Amino acid sequence: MAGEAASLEVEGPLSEAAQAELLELCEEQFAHLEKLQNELLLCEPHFSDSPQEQMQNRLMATEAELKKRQTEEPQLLAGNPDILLHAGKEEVLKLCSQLETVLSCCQAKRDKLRETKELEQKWLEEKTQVLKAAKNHVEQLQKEKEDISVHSMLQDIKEKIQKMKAYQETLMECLGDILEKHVPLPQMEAGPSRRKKSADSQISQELVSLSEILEVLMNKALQSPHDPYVIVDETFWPPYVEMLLRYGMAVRHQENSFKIRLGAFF
Amino acid sequence: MSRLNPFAKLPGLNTASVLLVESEEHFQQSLAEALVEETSVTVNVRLAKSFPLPIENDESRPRIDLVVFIINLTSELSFQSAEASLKYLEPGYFLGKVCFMVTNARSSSVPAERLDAVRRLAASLHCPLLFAEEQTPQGVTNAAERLLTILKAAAGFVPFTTPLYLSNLTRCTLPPDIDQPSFD
Amino acid sequence: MDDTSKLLLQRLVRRIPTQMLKATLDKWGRLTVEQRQAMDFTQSKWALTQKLLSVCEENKLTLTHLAELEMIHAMENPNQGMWYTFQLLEPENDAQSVELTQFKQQFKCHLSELLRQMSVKIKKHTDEAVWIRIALGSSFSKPNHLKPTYVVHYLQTPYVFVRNLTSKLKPLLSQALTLATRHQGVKEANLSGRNLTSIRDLLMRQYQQVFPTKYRSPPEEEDQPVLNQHIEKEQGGVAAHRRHMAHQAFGDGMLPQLQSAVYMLDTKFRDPNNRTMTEREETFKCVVKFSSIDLLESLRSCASSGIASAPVTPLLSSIPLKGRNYFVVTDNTPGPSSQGHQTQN
Repeated sequence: MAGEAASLEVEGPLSEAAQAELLELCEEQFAHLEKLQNELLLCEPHFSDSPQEQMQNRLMATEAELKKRQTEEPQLLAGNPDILLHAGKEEVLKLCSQLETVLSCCQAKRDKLRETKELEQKWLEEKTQVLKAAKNHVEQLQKEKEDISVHSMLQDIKEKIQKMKAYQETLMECLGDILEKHVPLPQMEAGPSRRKKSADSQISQELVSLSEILEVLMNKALQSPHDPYVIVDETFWPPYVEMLLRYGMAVRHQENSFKIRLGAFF
Repeated sequence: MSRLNPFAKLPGLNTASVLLVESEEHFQQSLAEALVEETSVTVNVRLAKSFPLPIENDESRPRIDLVVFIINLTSELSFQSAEASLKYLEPGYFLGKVCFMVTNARSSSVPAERLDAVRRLAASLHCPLLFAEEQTPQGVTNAAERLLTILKAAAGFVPFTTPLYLSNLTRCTLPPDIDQPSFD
Repeated sequence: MDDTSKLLLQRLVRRIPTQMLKATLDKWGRLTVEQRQAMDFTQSKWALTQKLLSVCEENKLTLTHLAELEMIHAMENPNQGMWYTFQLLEPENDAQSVELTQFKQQFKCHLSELLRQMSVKIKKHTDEAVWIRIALGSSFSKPNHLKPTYVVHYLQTPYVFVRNLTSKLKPLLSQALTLATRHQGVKEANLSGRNLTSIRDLLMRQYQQVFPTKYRSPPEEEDQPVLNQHIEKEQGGVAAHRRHMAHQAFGDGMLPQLQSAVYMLDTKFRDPNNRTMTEREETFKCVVKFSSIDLLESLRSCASSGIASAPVTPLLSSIPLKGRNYFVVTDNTPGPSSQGHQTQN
């Protein structure tokens, strides 16, 4: 068609003979095109708007195209080798650039895939290691299960209990030391007023130390977990109670403000 | 009703003509400017808001090799206008000389049904459906490049390829689950 | 300083942007130079308020002084709040010769006759506008300075712009205005907007207008970029025509900014597809409201881009032509012309 004919007009120096031949070829093609065009205009358009018929038309057109393609014999564009050279050169150059595009596209794709592969491999390695570790663990557990006996288990637990007890002892001692050193009972001080002093001494006689408060709280929490509250009486020095409450070591009863319990540490 | 006929006129020498139809007349201008940059062939661009085209231009109008409907997905009107314009085309155009170009598809305010409707329309006419980014110059150039590829085939500049052949390969197809409700 | 003054000052400081505060205070002129220099405007609003309160105490400033400050701020920023427009009717012979002092005196006199508890301030702005601030009280309470009404009037023009008008003040204000300006009546002009300058321009025709003509003016030379010879518009003529129509309706230049247009429809329902509604005897009442940041500009671009059908319906184009944005549409009047509505608010 016209496009094909036009695309033959290759740039570059062509011999006059070749140019003339090419022009003639174009003229020929164009005449052919005009003839076809006239035929097209003359024939009644038998297209219809219904999608079904359009579909059929499309099928027919495609089939016709296919048939044409199958029956068409490849023919030389022109006899002149000069033209052929030019046309071929152009075509090859075009093909080259197209192939280059394809190549770069493929390379990009390959790089991307390579990256993905590396990532996947890394992931796989990690997973294999995890599997290995899990297998080891299972093996170990099975082995232990096999050569375990009631006696050795008992011994084991006893040892552990012993250890825990010792540890608790040290903790208690440590706590006692700290409490004694940093939060002693309110001492009687030489106050300015005699009356106050006597009142103070009255109170302080009945007061219990912070460690005792804590002990009461802890015992209560362990002995009766359903009712861990301890009634705050006058033996508890109010600043200590306040301190325990403020630092979250003790919690007040929601309804009765005279009751406190040990904070939920466990 | 005068319809646009793909073979009513002789083609121009080394010339391809494209008709951009957009009801908003917004994107077509920049797209046209990008299209005429092409140097290997002379590209004629005609801009229209909708069909029918004014009869007084029939004489001056070259043979239109490709009709592009630009649909802005954020506007229902844009789709309706394109749909209404289709009947002014001779069925011969639907053998590879029509394509749809959708803009603003990434906008969050677009209902998914509208894109589906455009897809259905393009698929029922066996036309290719292109997506374009109109906001950036890069997007406009890309859209123009893709259109030029189709245009060259539609105007017969690509040896051993026909518009019908290309459109059979590039036509829009519906995903099989388009009617299923999506759960995302 | 009483509680109301403190509250008013607090509100004022909160309302005035920090960068404008200094200029406003300078204009107020109630603080000494030293006091003004002592103010640190980088401080927080709260600190500034405290500082100002103490300075006001020191200078023995009262509520009226603070009202002055508020008025200065209001005059500097006319585009706040909703402004409604009134039109004075039937001028008397000497209406054209009313001047400021006379107006001031008459207005105050008439208002104070009607109501005792009232505080009125009148100031002339640079652009010939007379600004009036009215704080209204009831017969048992002092004037409420927290919610003052602002009235803007250009002498020798029939238009009055009002912000924050209460129903109680309305009859009193109408009466005082008609008497002071030597007119016989006042009616609502059916125009409202946030931008005082715009509605003033619209009413006083101080923008580039178009006059409806029967003849098509020659198509103006369009300064469009020269198109590539390979690009051609199929419907270029139609587009130019649309633009022409839009410009015919709304003009070419800057348009006054309106925020809304309201149409009260009281017409028969007409829709060939909906017979039940169309056959009803009663009229179909509804309200159509267009709103936008810049309504007229949007309408123009809708018309010129073809989103709205051309030619522009007279209902829309009469917004700038008639200078109003509130219309009542009824069937009685032939054609799309509309009838004024008297009770707006």
